[in-house]
Amino acid sequence: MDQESAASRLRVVGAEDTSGWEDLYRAHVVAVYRFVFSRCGNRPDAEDITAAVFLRALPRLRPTASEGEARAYLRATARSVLAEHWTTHYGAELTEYNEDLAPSPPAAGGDEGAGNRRRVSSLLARLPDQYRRVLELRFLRGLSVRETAHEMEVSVANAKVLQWRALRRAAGLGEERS
Amino acid sequence: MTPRRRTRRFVTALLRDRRPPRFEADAEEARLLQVATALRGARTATDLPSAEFVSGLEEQLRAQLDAAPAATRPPSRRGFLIGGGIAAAAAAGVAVDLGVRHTDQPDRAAQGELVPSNGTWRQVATLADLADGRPRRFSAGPIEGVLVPQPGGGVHALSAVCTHRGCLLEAQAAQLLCPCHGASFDLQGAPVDREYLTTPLPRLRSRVVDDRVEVLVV
Repeated sequence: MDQESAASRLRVVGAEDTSGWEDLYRAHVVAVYRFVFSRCGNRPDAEDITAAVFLRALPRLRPTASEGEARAYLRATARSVLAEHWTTHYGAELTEYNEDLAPSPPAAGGDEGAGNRRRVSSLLARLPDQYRRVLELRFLRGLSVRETAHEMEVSVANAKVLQWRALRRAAGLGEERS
Repeated sequence: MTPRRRTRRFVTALLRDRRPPRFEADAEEARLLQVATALRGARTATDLPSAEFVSGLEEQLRAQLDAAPAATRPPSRRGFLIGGGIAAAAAAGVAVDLGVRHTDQPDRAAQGELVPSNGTWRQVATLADLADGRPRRFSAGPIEGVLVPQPGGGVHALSAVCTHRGCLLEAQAAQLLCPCHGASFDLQGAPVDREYLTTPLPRLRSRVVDDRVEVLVV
């Protein structure tokens, strides 16, 4: 069963029976959080969105739902809460950067961030060296601008410019108009 | 505010692990925000929820979903174990995979202890190294720790992995400071402020034999 049909089938479950939700919650909270985090990139939003996903999904999920059904339904719910997050706060639709264009296979070992990491590494691989490096240091390794400048042996001002240009290039945008 | 400026503010917040500002983005900005988000979301090992969030959300769900008041339910031991497991995974990094278990916690704010199931005592310093009374960092295989000399003699050992995002703490005279986001812990391992939703640093088993300071490691 593909995810969408699992999700639509599960959606008809009545809201009255919410017993046993703890097991579902505990079994899936880490995977849902990781899925959400990989698509919003910061902890405060990841926590709020994860909470919204469970508040919305748990009353509609029967405790006897299979592992796969529950995962599919929670994923579908997470996708729609994330889409709402982007439209409500930024007036933006999800793009290929935050969503798989093709349905992704179930994550191995509950690592729901793996799909995003694959997309990001193929995105980085297409960038010129300096651009790839500045994005890796700043976004993935979390270094400060100063540390990044030091690692790359450029000035702090240069590192800032590089970061900005690299981000624009990664977003498929041309050289800056300014 | 210019589009460029607000996009930069979004990226800056993202890089500081803060909630980014909201604004109506045009198509070009939206691409920038989303590519920045995807990059930031691709960090490994920092994408785990905090134990505090996991148990807090469970309480919130219980209040929302259950007719039965929480007080009448038996304490959720499994909840603590799951929460503790996540905290331990974040705190101990690879050490968890190598057989360190997180001991039971009487409550989720309490300080856990990382005890290897198959440990050996390893010397990590001498008493002379600690003679100045200051905390001192050590690395012993997979364990990153800090030794804290006690006023009355003796030495305590704490994990030196920040429970916020897993960075290695710097030992200062009166506190342990995280260089990544600025979280800090006192020398007993308790978080100094609550801004980062950190849990206390797990303790490590330590002992002093003659003048050798040893820590139980895997």
